[in-house]
Amino acid sequence: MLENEVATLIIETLNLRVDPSSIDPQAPLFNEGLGLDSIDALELAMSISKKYGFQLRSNDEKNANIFASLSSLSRHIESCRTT
Amino acid sequence: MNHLPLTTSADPERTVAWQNSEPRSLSRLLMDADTLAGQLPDLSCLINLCENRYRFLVGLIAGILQGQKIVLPPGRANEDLKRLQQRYDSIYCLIDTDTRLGDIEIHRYVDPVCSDPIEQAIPEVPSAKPLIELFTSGSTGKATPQQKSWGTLWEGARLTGERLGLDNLAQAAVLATVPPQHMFGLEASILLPLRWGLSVSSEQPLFAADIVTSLEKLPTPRILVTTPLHLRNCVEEGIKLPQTTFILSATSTLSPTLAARAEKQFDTQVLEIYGSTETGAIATRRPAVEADWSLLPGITLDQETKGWRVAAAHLAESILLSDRLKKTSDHHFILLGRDSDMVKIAGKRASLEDLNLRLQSLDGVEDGVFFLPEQRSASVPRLTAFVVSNIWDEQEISQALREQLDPAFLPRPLFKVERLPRNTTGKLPQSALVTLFRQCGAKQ
Repeated sequence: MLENEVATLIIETLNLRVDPSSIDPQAPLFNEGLGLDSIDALELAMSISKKYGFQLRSNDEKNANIFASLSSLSRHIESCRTT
Repeated sequence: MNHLPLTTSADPERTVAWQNSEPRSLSRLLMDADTLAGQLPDLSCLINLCENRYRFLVGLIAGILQGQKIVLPPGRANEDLKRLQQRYDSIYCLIDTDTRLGDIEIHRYVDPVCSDPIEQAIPEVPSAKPLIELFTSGSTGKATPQQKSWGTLWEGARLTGERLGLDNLAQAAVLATVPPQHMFGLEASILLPLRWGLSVSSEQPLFAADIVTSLEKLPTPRILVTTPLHLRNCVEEGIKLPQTTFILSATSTLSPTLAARAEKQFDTQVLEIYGSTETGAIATRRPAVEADWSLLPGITLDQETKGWRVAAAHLAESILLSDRLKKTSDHHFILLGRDSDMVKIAGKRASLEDLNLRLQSLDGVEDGVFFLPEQRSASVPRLTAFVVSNIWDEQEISQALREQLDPAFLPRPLFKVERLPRNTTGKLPQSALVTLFRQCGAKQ
C-alpha cells in the first residue's frame, strides 16, 4: 500500500528511527507530530521526485495541506506520480 | 535625535513589492501602513509574524509609526512566545494566517481596502533608538535578544548594497526563500530593498518548482535571496531558473562545488554573505571562484585570545565571533571552522554543551550526548544522539526532546545504547563517539 511505502520513504530519507507502522496516518508530520522542519521538507521533496517522478510545489494554496499528514501526502503522491 | 528616511526613493509611484504579480507602489505601502497603524493595539511591543512579505513590511512600518518596538522571535513555537511575554508586559502578535497561537494577544492582519493613494511623506525614523529586536538563533532557552537601531540596519544595507552593485540595479526585484524574521532575511529582503529602491516579492517559496514560479512573476532584473539548502534542491532537481542577475546565499557556508554547479546551471553569479545576527553582514565572496571573504568597507577584524572581534562605525559595540578564521590580508580572510562547542544547522546555532544538558536532564534519561557526524559535503548536517535509559525507548526520548528543542536540532537518528564510552575521567573523546556512531549505523 502506498501509505506504507511513503512512510518508509520518510523514515529512510530523514533517518528517523521509528517503525513505519507507528506513524499515525492522520497525525501532522511537521511540528507536533513527527517534529519535521523545512529542511526535512526539502529532503523529502528530493526523494519524492526521484522515486515518483514529479516535483512538489507549495505555492499552490491547496498544497498547504500536502504535509498535513502521511495520509494527505500519500494521496498527493498518488494523484501526481508519473512513475 | 537624528533621523534617517524609511526608504531612499521618494517617487510615490515606484514599485516596492509584488503581491501575486500585482505591483504595490510606495504610496500604497505607506497608506496601508498608515491604516494599519490606526488599528494596532495600544501596546508597546509588536511581534511581527506576518508570513507574506508585503504584509510584514506594512506591519513593520505601522509599528514604527506607532513608536512600538518590533520584535522578531527566534521561532513561532508557543515556548518562544511565552518567553517574550515574560520579558515584556505590553506585547502582542501581528499575524496574517489563521495559525492558532498560545495565550497571547493577537492582531490579525486584514488587507486594507484599496482606495486612491494620497501622497504621503516618507516617514523619518529615529536613527539611534533600539527599534527592532531579533534573536541569535539557538536551541530554545539560549536565544539572546539583539537590539538593532535603524542607523545600524540602514548603514549595513548601504555597505552591502554597494558591494553587490545595487546602485546600478535600482529597478531590481528580490525574491527570498528565507523569512524576514531572521537577520539575513531582514537585511536582504527588507533593508536592501528599502535602502536601494528595489522591489520585493511577497512570496517565500520552499521547493525548487515554487522558486521558479515565484521568479517568473517578477520583472527583470531579478535577485534571488536564498540558502545553500534551497540552492542544492534547485540544482539537484535539475530545474532551470528564469533569468536572475545574481543569487545571494547565507545562513551556512556554501560549498564551492555547489556554487559552481548553480552558476553554470542557472547562468548567473552566486554570491555569499558572511555575518551573524549580532553583526549583520560583514563580508562577501563568490565561492565558485574565490575562497577568501572580502570584508565590507569600514569593518575591522582583530584577533584576541578568545577569538576574532568585529568592529565598525555602524555597530553599537564590537562583537566576538564564534567562528575560527585566518586573515589573508587586511581586508580578506578564510573561515577555518566553528568553535568546537558550537553547531550550526540550517542557519541556527546551538551549543553542544547546552543540548547535552537538556538531554541529560530529561526524566528517565541516565546519560546522553549529542554528536555531529562527518557529513557528505553536499548534504545538510544533522545531529545524532546517544542515550542511555532504562525506562524509555528511542521514540519516547525523541518525543520528550521535541518539546524542548527547535526541530533543527532533533537527533536524526537517536540511538539508545547500553552505556556511553566515557573514559576514566568521565569525558567522552570525539574518537570514541565516531566509533560508536559507526557501530550503531552498522546495526541499523
